[in-house]
Amino acid sequence: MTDIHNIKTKLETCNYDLYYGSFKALSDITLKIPEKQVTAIIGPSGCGKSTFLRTFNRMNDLIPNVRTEGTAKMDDQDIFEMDVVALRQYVGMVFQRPNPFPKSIYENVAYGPRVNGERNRKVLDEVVETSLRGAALWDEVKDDLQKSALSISGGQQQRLCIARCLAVEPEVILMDEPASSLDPIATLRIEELIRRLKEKYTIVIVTHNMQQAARVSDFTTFLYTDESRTGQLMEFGATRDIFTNPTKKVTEDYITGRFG
Amino acid sequence: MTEQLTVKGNVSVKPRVAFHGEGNLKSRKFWQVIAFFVLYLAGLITIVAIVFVIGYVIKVGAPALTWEFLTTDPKGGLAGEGGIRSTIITSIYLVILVLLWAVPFGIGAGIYLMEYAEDPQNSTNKLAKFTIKIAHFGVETLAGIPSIIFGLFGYALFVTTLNMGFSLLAASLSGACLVLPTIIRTTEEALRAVPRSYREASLALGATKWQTIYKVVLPAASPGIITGIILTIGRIIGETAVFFVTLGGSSGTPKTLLSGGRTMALHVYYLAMDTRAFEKAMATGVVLIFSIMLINLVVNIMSNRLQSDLRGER
Amino acid sequence: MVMIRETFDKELIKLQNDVLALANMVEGMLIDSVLHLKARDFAGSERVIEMDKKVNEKRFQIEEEVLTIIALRQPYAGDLRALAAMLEFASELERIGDYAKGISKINLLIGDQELVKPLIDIPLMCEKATFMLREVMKAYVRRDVELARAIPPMDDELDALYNQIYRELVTYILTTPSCLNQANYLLWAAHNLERTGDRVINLCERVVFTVTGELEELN
Repeated sequence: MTDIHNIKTKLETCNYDLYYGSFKALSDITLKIPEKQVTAIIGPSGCGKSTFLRTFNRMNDLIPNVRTEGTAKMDDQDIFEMDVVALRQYVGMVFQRPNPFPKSIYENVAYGPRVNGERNRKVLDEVVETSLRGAALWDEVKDDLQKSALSISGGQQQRLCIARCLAVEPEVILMDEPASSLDPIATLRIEELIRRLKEKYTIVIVTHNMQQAARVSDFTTFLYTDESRTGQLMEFGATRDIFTNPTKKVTEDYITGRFG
Repeated sequence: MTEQLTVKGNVSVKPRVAFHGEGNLKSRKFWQVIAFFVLYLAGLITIVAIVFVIGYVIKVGAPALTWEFLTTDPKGGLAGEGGIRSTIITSIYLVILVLLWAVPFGIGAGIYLMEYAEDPQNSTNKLAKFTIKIAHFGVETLAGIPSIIFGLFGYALFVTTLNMGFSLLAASLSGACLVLPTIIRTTEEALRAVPRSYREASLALGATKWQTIYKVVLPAASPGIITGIILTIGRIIGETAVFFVTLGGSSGTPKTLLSGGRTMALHVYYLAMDTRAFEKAMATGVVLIFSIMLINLVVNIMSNRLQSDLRGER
Repeated sequence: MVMIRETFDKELIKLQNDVLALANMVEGMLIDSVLHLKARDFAGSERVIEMDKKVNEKRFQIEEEVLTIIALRQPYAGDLRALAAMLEFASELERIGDYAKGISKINLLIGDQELVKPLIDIPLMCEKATFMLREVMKAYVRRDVELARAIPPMDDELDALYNQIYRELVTYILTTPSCLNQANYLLWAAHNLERTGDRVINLCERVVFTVTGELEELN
């Protein structure tokens, strides 16, 4: 089994529970997510993968009646003690369906820096170009950055959302099934992009597509739920180990398609 | 399912397989014809009625519709001398003033109500939920109250108690009260209609709630909000009751906020009741109708443009 | 998803049966080759040599099937290891078939000569070797790690028998130099059987790997 003890931990949770009202959605999740690696979160539908992902940028704060116990940390700091607006500049998110603002491509990418106070046009121009390059979209849109973001294809929109996220210069990028609404070619491009991005960013990706998790990630987390619909951490390890020789039978049953 | 069906007269129908075949096709087609005919008839009658009304007004009013008519002030008298110049100006002033009072407060209240309702902490707080319900109920009720009530309210408060007298100020404030519920409602609905995903995306990028509203949600809701405002303009131009008791009936052009005046709609009333100049009344009606048509046209064009902008088609 | 899994399971079972069939073919060839050697049945030996072609065909068929499944079904974990095991099994069993073919060829090469000594130990080796083969196939089907670990020690007996045959045949060569050729051939036949035992040990290691995911050396 691959040893991850000599890789620095970027995000971690300890005995983390999450409740929607009285319903326990996540139970006792203790997990360390390594820095500058791609960690995939897989598991049957309804097991709380997205909910768990959204812990790290506190998007669950927007949902009424959510209560958490246990700790969640980034770089050893409790994220619930940090200012949430500041946290979200370090931890960015790409959503399942591309959601560019109804503005121009330029304005979409510049949004993050702008709300942060950046006014200098030259600086913004640079950030926009760097981010679009980082998202492998620059060449396709550089000739008309004023074009509406809604006029480009779905795959391009998703890359635009990634560029928008990169413009804020985060350290972590959370991706919630980023390719599930895209066609196969667009999906592959996003996967290529993810592999490149991990050189600079820590990436956590939720996916229900086993093959994608196998293709794209360095580490895999398997969240499991039974009839109680409470998500638990079943197994975590190097992707190559999980997919050739998982330690738990439930993990093996899931990835070989015996249930889903 | 596979019995042979034979019908009298030596015509045998093919055996029925599942739901294929003749079945009740003839009967269904028949009822479709009837239904569409009735709908067609309803549409026809509606259009004819509208055309008739407008046509009649235009027919009677057209002879009086001259350039002079539009550029001279009414002079009064039994014959209804003069034109409608001052009334046009008064109507315009009134629209501007009402919007001035109503729009900032209306949009602000709409934003606040939406934010208060959307706040996750409040969706579970019983008191908060109750407050929101009351607020919505209040707005809905006010939106339906007859304009004469607002007129009397305005007369009691602005004209009399606050001593503004019959004036643009009193009238516009009363008119603002009248249209405020509508603007609040349309603003709130337009804001709610903005997809949640925009808000999420903005917050996830490290924007504050206010920045999200100001930079993303409001702009995205603007077609709806602006449409609401422009329709309000149409309403103000056509209003009679509320201005009747707050504006006075002076036929001159108002010089200050405290001057009284007459809107076009009110002028129609005065002409019809106090004079014999029926065609002039109708002519004023024509101007009114065309103003409203123009406004609606502008609404449509602007709304389409804004929508296609948002969808990225331009 | 369950439908795909069911179809996949059926394919895996069919492939496993193919491997078992291959093992049966090869076991039969081994037994027959030694029988024919003892009975000096040349026609029989020819038949065994012909049979080897079928063995090769079957092996390649199994390999193709495995590659196709890997390409189309993206198997993981236990499934993946099982498929890798099938490739290994097909290859090793085909090798054992070659050993049987070798023994049959030896029968033909010795030809009309009378046997130097009655064959006792070689058939004994064959018995042991084919027993080991049957056992490992059992362990494979049942995924029985304990059984797989219990088989390799039997190879010691096989080696002991080989050494004994070696000493005997060397003695014969020294006392009767004219039987050098035949003795050599017989030694070669015994060698083939001894190698069969080694192949079976490889298969035992494969069975353990399929079940545990660890590659142990079982010697």
